[in-house]
Amino acid sequence: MAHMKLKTIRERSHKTNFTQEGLDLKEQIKKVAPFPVILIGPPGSGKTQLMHQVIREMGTKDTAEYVGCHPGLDIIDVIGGYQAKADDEGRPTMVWVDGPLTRAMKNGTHILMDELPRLSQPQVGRIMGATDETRLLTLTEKEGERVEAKSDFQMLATGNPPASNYNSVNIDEAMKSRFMIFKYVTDSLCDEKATLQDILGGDENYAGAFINWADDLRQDPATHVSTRDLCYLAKMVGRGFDAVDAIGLNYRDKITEDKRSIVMTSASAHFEN
Amino acid sequence: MKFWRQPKDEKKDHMNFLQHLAGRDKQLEFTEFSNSAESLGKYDTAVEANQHYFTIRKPKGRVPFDANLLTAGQVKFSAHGMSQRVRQKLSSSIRKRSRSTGLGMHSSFEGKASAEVYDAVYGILENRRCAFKASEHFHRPKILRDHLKEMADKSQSRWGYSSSIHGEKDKDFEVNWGEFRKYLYGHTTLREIKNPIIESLCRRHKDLIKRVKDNTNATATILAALEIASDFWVTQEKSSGGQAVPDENGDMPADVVVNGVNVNATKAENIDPDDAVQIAQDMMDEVKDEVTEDYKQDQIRNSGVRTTAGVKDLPDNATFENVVDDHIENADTIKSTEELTTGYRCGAVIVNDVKTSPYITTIDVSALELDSQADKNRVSLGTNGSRMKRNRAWRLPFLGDPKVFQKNPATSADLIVLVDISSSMGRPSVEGQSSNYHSPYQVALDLSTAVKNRFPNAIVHGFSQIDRRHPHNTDKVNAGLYPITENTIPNAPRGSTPLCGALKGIEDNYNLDNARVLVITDGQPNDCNSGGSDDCVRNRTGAWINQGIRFGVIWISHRMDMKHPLPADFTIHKQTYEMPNSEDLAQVFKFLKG
Repeated sequence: MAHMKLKTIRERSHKTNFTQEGLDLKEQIKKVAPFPVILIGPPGSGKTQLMHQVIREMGTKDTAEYVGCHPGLDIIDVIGGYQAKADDEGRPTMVWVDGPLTRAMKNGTHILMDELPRLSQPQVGRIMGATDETRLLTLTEKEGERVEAKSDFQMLATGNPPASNYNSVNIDEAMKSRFMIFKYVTDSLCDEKATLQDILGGDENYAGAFINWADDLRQDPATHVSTRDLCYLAKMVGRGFDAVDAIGLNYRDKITEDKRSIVMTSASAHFEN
Repeated sequence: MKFWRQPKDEKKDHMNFLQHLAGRDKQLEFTEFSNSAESLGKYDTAVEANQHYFTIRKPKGRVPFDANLLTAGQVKFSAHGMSQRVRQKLSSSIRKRSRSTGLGMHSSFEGKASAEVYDAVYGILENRRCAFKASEHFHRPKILRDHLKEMADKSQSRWGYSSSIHGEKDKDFEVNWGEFRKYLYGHTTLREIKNPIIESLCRRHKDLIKRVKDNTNATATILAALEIASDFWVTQEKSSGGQAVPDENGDMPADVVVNGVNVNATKAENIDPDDAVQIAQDMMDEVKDEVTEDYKQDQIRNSGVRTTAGVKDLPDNATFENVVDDHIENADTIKSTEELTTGYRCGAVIVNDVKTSPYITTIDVSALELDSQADKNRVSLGTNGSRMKRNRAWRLPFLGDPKVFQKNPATSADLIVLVDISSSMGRPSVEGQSSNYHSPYQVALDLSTAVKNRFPNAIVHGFSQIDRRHPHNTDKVNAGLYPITENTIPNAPRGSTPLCGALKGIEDNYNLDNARVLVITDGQPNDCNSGGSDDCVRNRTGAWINQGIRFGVIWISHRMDMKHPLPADFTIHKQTYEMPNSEDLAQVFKFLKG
């Protein structure tokens, strides 16, 4: 690191710094409540952070429901189902337990469906009614009980684009039409420079070197560095790791073999003597 | 695009790093010059860009780490995309003005010298600008310091900076661009410049050069080169050439007057200096307007991708400066978004209607006939080369080949030869234009001719990239398979080596049970749409091995340390420009016969 002087710092907990686009988007999401919203983009670009911020600012942090979607998710994990419970005398009885979607509808709060494009079709089919104008969910498992969403119920969703190296699929056209905001996010929603400077104790040079390194790698989607990766790397440097070592530990093996030398040469160019 | 080798040191792998910065659609080409004099140092690198290549000039041998980073910066920050648009419009503007008499009085050479002036001036200015940017980008002031320091010692006659630019026949301009470079870097004065063209150019544009030399704005560099080239056409090229000639009836062409100036002035009536400035200015404005308008139209066509990428549309009143900035800022984002969202995949389409050229084989086919005759009489019990005859079927229980009575599918392919036709394979000998060296392409054609002669049913395809907007490319694949016949080669795009796509293509189009695939290439596969080329090739071939498919690789490369990802039964390494010998052929035939 002869060409740059690194101040000895202690890693500081980083605050969320959104870009202007992120701030605008946050206000727009709040404005369209209670209609569903989805942000689609590469991992680590700040989609979920932004949604959490919306939930915090709308005051539903304590009641909001969170679902991490995946193809094997059971209907009981979304809608609810009968589960065995011991009664007062210790005998097993079947009791209906609401799932997060049902709870959010009944309580009139937010539900954050993370990675929605990974959800399998049976679940997608069930949430369609809850997210269109009827805002109605029929619990066929519970003798056809109908749940009407309270007025503040809003579904927020995030997802990765259906591209190579993602286990995502194209979102159903019918599902797409239910979102009032359906937005692709390609640039990070986080102000990377401000965040990195914050983590690195205000060291502009070092933060700039990370930004430039990421800029080199972002020329090819196959070596795209996410904001999350950058923040992790800065935190590692804050904890005393050499930057090139940190990149070797955190990022090098995340990408395919034939691109690793690009990552490490770029790291060497920016951080080594 | 080539990923050259498996690096010994990942942290110093500049080839792959440079290729990454150059992008998928640009190939790197290196020209090394001798650096015998001690005082010349090892820092003098320069980059030129054209439509398909980055040509990197560097001293012979290893250069310092910082010099490599200078090259990296010169590749990364080069605004070549916009520069090429400007150059193209400059040429068409000159042609338009030259032909405006309608008599074809100017040859196709008209404007060629000015375009070359544009290239040279832009290249030198751009390399200086990018040196500033590289130094800043890598936080290494030494890059710029060493670059500026070395310019003082540069020989003016160094290769690449001393050249003649070509006007019409017998109207070449001898130009020593080294002198222009020295003047730009402040290491020589106007009085010391010996070359009259450079002296005139520097004198006329003294203020402009002073203004642009420390400017790191890409637009300023492009406009400076455009201004100098336009002025060169009006004052040098135009006035020294382009004589008006009478038509068949002996009538002279009418004057073409633009803004009160006769742009069709002949040598005898040299243009007034003020008029020259006016004409050059008009040309510049025209070029700027056309480039701006074209770029805007392109962006309207790409508006879907722009919206997806979150890039704002250009305003209707966008200026030339706006479009250059937009291109620099957003071109990569738009390209990445397109690749992320449009679902390009690995695969290939067979393009049968590609235009072809005849080629000349340098292998003695008649000598192969005798061997092949022996082979034809031989009864093969395998499923390759020739199928078992019905009257040999009594041996079936012993050999256990249940497919002996099956009708072969019409597209059954026992032998497939895939020839890498990327541009690094070089040029083959074609009719009327024989090659004076034995390029890898020629070796591949000789071998495939021999194979075809011996095994007439063998299928030979060249593989390379395919344009994403090609009408056949409905599945958005990365490779095209272009048939190579006994007499012709395809005139196909020759950018990359998408072997994974080519393999998928033959899998989709042929029955490959127990086939043998021979790949002739000069580099590792690349241009994969799924992430890693090597992994993609390995994944694809993994299942094929179980089907009985076998692979052979003929590797024509000066790099003997490369490893090919194909699980090959045999690999023949040939040095570049080395001809295949009879032993190689014997090995190939043995492999193909099974």
